[in-house]
Amino acid sequence: MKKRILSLMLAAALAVSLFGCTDTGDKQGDGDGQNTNQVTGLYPGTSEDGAITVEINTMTVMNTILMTYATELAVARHCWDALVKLDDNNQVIGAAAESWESAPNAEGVEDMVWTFHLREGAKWVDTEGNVVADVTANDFVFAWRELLNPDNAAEYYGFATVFKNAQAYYDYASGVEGAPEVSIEDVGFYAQDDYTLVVELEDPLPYLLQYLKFEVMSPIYQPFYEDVGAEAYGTAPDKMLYNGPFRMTEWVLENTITTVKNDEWYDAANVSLQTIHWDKYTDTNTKLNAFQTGEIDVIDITGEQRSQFEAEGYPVNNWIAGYSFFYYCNVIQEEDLGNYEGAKLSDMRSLNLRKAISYAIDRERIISTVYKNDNEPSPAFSLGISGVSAPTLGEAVVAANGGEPLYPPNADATKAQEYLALALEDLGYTDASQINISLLTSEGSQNELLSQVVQEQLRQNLGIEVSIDVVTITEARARRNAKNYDMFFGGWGPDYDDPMTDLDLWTSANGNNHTGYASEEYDALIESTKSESDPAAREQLFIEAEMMLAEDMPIIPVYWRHEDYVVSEKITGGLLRLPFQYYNLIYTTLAD
Amino acid sequence: MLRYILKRIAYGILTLFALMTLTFFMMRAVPGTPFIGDKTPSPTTLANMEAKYGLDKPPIVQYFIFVGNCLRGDLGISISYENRSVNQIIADSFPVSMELGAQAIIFAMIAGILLGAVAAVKRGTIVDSLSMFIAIVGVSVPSFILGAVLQYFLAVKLKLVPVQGWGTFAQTLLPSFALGMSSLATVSRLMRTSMLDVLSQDYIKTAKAKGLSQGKILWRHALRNAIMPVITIIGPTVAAVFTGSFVVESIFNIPGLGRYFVMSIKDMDYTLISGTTIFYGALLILCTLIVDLLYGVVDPRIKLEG
Amino acid sequence: MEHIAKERFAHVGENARDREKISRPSVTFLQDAMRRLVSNKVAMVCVIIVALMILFSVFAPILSPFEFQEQHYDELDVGMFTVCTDPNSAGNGHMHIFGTDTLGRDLFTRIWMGGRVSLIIAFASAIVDFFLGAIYGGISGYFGGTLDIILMRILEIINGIPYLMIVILLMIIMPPGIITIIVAYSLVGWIPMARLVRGQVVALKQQEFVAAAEAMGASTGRMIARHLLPNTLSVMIVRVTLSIPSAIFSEAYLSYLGLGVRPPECSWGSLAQLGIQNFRLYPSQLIIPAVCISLTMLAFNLFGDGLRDAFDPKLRR
Repeated sequence: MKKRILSLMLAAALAVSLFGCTDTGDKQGDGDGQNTNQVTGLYPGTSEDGAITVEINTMTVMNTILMTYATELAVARHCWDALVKLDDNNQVIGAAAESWESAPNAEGVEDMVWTFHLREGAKWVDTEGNVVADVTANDFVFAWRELLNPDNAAEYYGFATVFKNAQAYYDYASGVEGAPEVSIEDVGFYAQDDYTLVVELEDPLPYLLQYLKFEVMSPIYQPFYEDVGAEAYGTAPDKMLYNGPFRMTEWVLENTITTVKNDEWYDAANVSLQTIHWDKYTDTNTKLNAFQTGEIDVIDITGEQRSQFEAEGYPVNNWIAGYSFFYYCNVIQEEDLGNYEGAKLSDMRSLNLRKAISYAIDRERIISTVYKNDNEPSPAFSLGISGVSAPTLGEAVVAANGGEPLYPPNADATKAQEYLALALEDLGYTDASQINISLLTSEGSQNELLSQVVQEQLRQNLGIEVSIDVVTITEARARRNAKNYDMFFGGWGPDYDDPMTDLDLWTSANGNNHTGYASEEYDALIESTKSESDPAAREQLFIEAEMMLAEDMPIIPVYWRHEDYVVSEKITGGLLRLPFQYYNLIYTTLAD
Repeated sequence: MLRYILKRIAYGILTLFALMTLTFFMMRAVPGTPFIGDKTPSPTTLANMEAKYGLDKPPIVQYFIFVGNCLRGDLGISISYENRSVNQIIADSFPVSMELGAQAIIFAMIAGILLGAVAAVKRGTIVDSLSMFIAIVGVSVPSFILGAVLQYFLAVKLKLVPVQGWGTFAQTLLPSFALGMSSLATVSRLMRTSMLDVLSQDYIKTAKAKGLSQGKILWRHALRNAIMPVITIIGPTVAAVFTGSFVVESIFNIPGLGRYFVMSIKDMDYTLISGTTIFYGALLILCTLIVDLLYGVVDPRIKLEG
Repeated sequence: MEHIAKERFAHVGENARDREKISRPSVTFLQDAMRRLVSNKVAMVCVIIVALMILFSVFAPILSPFEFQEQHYDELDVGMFTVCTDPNSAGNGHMHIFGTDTLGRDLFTRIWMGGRVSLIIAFASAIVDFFLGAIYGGISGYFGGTLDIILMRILEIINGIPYLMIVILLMIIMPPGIITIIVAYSLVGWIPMARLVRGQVVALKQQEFVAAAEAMGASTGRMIARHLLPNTLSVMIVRVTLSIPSAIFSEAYLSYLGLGVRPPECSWGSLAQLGIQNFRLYPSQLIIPAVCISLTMLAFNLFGDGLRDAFDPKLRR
């Protein structure tokens, strides 16, 4: 008796597993099929009146001077007004400052001294919306001084070093050996009166306003900051003051942030949105489920999820944050190895091998297998930067290259083999099997998939076996920085709208150049852009830099990231997602 | 009894101390630094950051500062959540994990003991088979699959409960179930085995011969003795539930402590790692102590000697 | 009363040894257990399932026309029983029995490659758990006193360190892979077993038959081997059957957190983890590895039950 029942159970367990299988398949087909032609009412969104819920990732700190993540900056944009901000076309417009003018400095160099006239009557409010004080020029001076205060160890202090003597002050205050004494009063910014802020630059900077727009440059109200203390400021909604269109009312770390409309904001009359919930999701299935059941209004989606929405006929949106993805290559030559502690002499030092690999990888196939979305095979390195001769720098580069991308979207096995033959000569190898390359991969299923696809493409198109080395992200970065790798896949996003933010990266002195690429010509080319005042000529120099990169190939660009997201039908307009504006929800409008 | 407890607490503190030391030096042996992100700070800033967290001092000095702070109950300032104290992070998130864990454990214990006991008493009947089937499903389906599938069918398709979040009681149902399921399975299997053992003992036969009622036999004699082995696994179950909660917390978007574990290790947030480890270690030691005490209460044959 | 003929009796002679001879063949404990195990049909079905899993894991990847890491670009995410159209195998009638995964790799081949990894991890960990736990717990429980306290302190220290930390540290210190996972799992996996054995031994030690054996002057080795361990065995077997699922679980759990086996290697856990991301679109990519995991678990559990019944000294007779 007992035995029979157990056998039955065995069968039942199997049946349930199989039943589960067909069930999933059926519901997918039937339930959603009915709505194919009817978009309206599919995803009405969250139910709370006047409020939206959007997806946001990492949120670690809300003290503006300490921020590093694009996601933190996105929330900051809604809570604080810096001097200027970007509009819906990414053009600079006034925020805390109403107007500004520039003048030459004492030596007569143009555009070195800038005067900003602040909006009068702007208020600091607390988490409950009570007015605490007026926003004055002193708040900017204080915030920027804190940015340069070594005790805070602000990663983005560099944004304040455009001001005269700022870097010298920072070095002195940090106790760098041999740094001459500089007082904070000598740093090039001061409040002329409550509503006039004057800044003086260290070097000419054509894109100063792009710098001042950066959320890290937001003001801080000194008495309150000192009241709660530098450590506590920015760790909870009641430990901050706000001068932006919204104020924060709730923050559950790693979970959710709530911001509520600030009625004291100068343009509050035009803000119809009452509340924004910023929710963090770690699981992509949960996110999709929450969207479909009306628990969230805006989510980023994967390529597979996109095809699901497309099958339903639901509109999918797409935006570019400006992230360009590429392989760092360790190009250190044998004679330079001594200059780098712990660095590896890699086969990647052969330019011909790098070119062979660039021809052997099929960028389009990488995208259609690993990402399955609109990512674009990189025609050039830099993405998301405005152009002069064309709408974007990327388009200008392609135009200058005769309409051809600098890097081929498809594999070219013949060319790859030609370069491989040369590479073998360079490296003194007799056979391709002697090449020893490992793909340093930081954990994460997408990274691992990518490495496997690249491994397979190199096997097929180049006939070489590369290994895959999966490590934690911190170890991967440590090895990248120590130049103890062959190829490492990474991304780069611009901080401000000027080619300098991207192309300065590959100069020999740049701390983010982990390739060991040190070209005097490239350095000189980037240096020459600093003294070029004609925008068109300056852009030409950057185009040359892009071409030099493609020629010397310290990096192998793979794709430009395009990000898919869906928006519930609750939101009717005004939702912006642009480079440098991860989210701009200030003027979002809702369906009634 | 009191002497026993005091002695155990003293041992617990020793254990914690060893754990602290081990954690500290193991973390320092791992390559990489928490300060390097996608973008690398300038060397001066890097030095400033290390100074801010006291990482510029020699490791042995850091160790003594760390131990001193721990003794004062200060677990330090998190590196990845800048300026936020680890104490605060634990204080904010642990109650959530505890609530989730407690619900899951209570569910697993009560349902598991009942299922196991019933299965043993009604051995060979459909009840036995059914309860063992539940146990098998619980053991055989990983929580991340169970959680995802339950979420899809119960929340998305049938709309019985919310998909995610933490706050309302309805939101706690799915995660508690998904988290407790595998423990339920363990408990019910163990309970069944142990109950069968007990039921074949001579004193049960004696009790039967004496003419005690079936209910009284089960309740007074069988259950109380059969629960013994189950109690020994409460400690490991608590541990399993708390580590297992990372998966469930991330599937159901629950702001608990579990997610900080893995995230802090991935981010190399030294202070948060040691803080959560010490906290977790203390919790486990406390649980084991309680379990051992319970063991003595339930089984009078075992004397707790000081 | 029936009359019995006298002729049916015979004199056995003077030999004292023959006089006491038992003509029924003697059955050892093990033989008896095996006999009862073989007669348990469910347990036998489970043995067959496990054997099939092992056979497939060993031979399917060898016999399959596809390499487990071979990617067919034009066949991404195809369903079950799709005939392969890749230029290399078109016309051969080769079939993707379980379909392909997101990179166009044959899922049938991968499932059995993954089976190798998962089963190796499970068996290796279970064996280590069993012996380490039995020895450690047995010694600790039997000798008691200072040794017990010292051993339990060490155990608690190891137990207090979160499992994940050990794994991550080992992943970095050791080359990532199967061995690392086994070592990491074994480092903590034996603890529940040791606790259980110790608990049982402590309880048994106070029972009468142990006192009797002691009084009769049984040696330590005999006490442990003949009296304590056999009586602990049933609980240990339940535990070890549970430690096989829990090893496969841990592997799957680590895979979900992105800490499992490293590519190109795959395991059932890592396949399920990949499958779960798109399970609404391609349910078979999740269900196949999930069924493999569950079926193996089921088989081990029911087989464990059978073993328990067979080994249990109380059910003997």
